This record gives sequence, C-alpha cells and structure tokens, in this order.
Amino acid sequence: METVLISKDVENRNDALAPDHACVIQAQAGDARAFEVLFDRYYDMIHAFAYRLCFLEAEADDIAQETFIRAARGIAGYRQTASFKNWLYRIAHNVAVDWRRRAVRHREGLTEFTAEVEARLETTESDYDEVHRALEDLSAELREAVVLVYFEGMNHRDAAEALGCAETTVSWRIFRAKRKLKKVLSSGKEGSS
Amino acid sequence: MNDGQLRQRLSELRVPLATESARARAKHRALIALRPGDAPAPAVTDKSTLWKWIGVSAALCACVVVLIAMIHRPQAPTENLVGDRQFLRQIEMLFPGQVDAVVEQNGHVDLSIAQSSLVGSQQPVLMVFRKDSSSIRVLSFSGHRVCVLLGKEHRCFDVLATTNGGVILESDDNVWVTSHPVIVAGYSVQAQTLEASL
Repeated sequence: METVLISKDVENRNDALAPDHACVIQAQAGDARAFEVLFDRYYDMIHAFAYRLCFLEAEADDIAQETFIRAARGIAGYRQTASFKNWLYRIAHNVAVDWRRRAVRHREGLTEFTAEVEARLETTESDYDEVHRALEDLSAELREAVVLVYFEGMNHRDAAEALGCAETTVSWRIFRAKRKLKKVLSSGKEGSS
Repeated sequence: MNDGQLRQRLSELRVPLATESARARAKHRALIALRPGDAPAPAVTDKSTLWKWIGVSAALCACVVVLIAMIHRPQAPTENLVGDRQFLRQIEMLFPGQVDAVVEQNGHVDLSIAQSSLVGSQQPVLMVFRKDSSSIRVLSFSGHRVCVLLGKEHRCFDVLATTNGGVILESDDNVWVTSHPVIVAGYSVQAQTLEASL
C-alpha cells in the first residue's frame, strides 16, 4: 500500500535522485517513502554536524535522531522558504542547544559528560588529534559557526539562516574562531616540530 | 598560518560514521513521528517560475548596463554606493561564489576571482584608499581577505562588517575601525558596508 502513496515524480526519477522539493511535498502529504529518501540523503550529514558539535558518538546519535523526529513532526508546516538542508541544520542546531542547556541544568549530567570526554581523552590520546582539541576549546557558538562554514561549506548567509542569527554575527564568530584556531594550531605545530 | 592552511588542518578532523543500529533506530522513530500534512504544501507555480526567469533576465540586462557604465565612468571615483552594490551583485551573479574583490584604480577595473567557490559572507563592503590625486576603490565582502598595492607596499586586510554598518580592517600587525578615516602606508582609508546604502 505504501508504494501507492509515492508520487510519480519521486518514483519515476528513482527515489535517490528525486529532488528535495519533490520529496518534501510528498512527505508533507504523509508519504513515508519520500521522507525516507530525505532521511537517507541527510542523516550522515546531520550526524557528522552533531558529532562535530559535541565530540561524543552517543550524543551525536541522539541529536541526529531527535533532529529527524522533529523534522518529521514539523515537515507539514515547512514552507520551503529556506532549503530543506538549511531547515534541517536549523533543527539540529536547536536540538544541540537544548542538549547543552540540559547538560548545564543538570550538573551531575554535565559532570558525567565531562568525565566521559576526559576518559576518551585518556584512552585515545594517541589518535586524538590537535585539530579535535582546538575545536573543542572553542565556545559552542564559535564551534557551530566553524562547523557550518568550514565543514559543511555554507556561506555566512546560509549559516546565519541555520543558526537563526544575523549574517554579521556569523562573520564575527568566524573571525574570532579563525584567530583562536590559528593561534592554537600554529603554536601546536611549532611545539611538535 | 593563512586561511588555506587553516582549512587544510581542519580537514584532518576525523568524524566517525553513524552505526547502522543508530541509523535504523533514528529512521524508525522519525517515520513513526511523520504525520500526514494538515496544511497544503506550498505549490511552486509556473507563474512564480516565470517571474524568477523575468527577474534573472532583468538582472542580467542590468548587469550589462552597469558594466558599460563602469567602463565609461569618469576617472574620478564617484560615491554611487547603490551602483557599487548592484555592480558587485551582478559580478557575483556572473561568477557565483567566486568573487573575492573588485578593484578599481585609475579608471581600470580588476576582478579578483577565486578558482573555486569561496565560502564567505554576502555582505558587500566598499573600501576607498586615497593618496594625493590617486585613489583605489575596492568592492568586496565581509569576511574576505583583500590585498592591494599601496604605492610600493603590498598590504592585505581581513575585512569585517560590524552590526552598525562600520567596517573593521585587520592586517597582520594592526586593526583599524574605519568609522573614522585611517592612514595606511600613506593612504587614507575609508570603508563602509554597502547594505546600508539601499
């Protein structure tokens, strides 16, 4: 029965090649297959984004999962004024913000979280590279901007759309992050050589 | 360390792939959460597509007109900020994501085009370097690095727009806030964002 719901548009183009726009319209009508196409297309991207924000695999799993749950619940109201990708990033950003708030609110959780990071640092010190550490030293806001602009290849306007802030704010965050990263990574390189 | 080296270092970051079980769990729960739409999907009509094409065509025509106007512009720099902004936008349309800067010096216009698509801001910025009778006008975007030859000195600046329409220029050894004219290598420098000019 489910295949009956798939639009000819999506079906004819071969699901994996159907444009976001067509999949979104079908998903908005409740077409599970169309939403699955979008999920398959963007899950790894959102998971990587989440991981770069928290550096914890389990948390990245949770953030990515919650992002797609919220996307599924909210897709009927999505008006396609932003690209679907940017819309997903915006949701992932909000989920990550909630995750950080929860971590701060529950001190114990934060302690556990910190302990987990420290444990990982100790156990994987050999391959825990300098770039990883430099990014972790950035504040959450700066790191998010760096992840979107440098890793996801967004321009400042798209990143601003995803983060829900002004383009100037993203430019500033990138500017500040670049200074910090260059300082840390340059000194690290000198130290190691 | 320059921007290219920083980008190179950042690309070293390893990201683990999601496990199949995590992916399957997430997909299952997301599909359960999927509800049939209670609002009709926005339709992109042929009419809106037509208007888009008309818009693009009009922009391209305007681009040609502005290019001709730029070529025939008098030697002395004008302060037509709206024109500057439109000109920069039109060049950007011709080379999407690749325009680093447009430099106008003594009536000659040079384009600095990156080989690959640049990631940066879309906030246009105008910088004017003046010394005696010569002037250099640079159109670029916030967040970009601009290099100009000031006399015999080759100077590079990171350009950054501020929220109040000002511009910060940062060189390797100095930072200038250009709400007031500053002097660099004997040139007075004025800079402003072009967003506010419309």
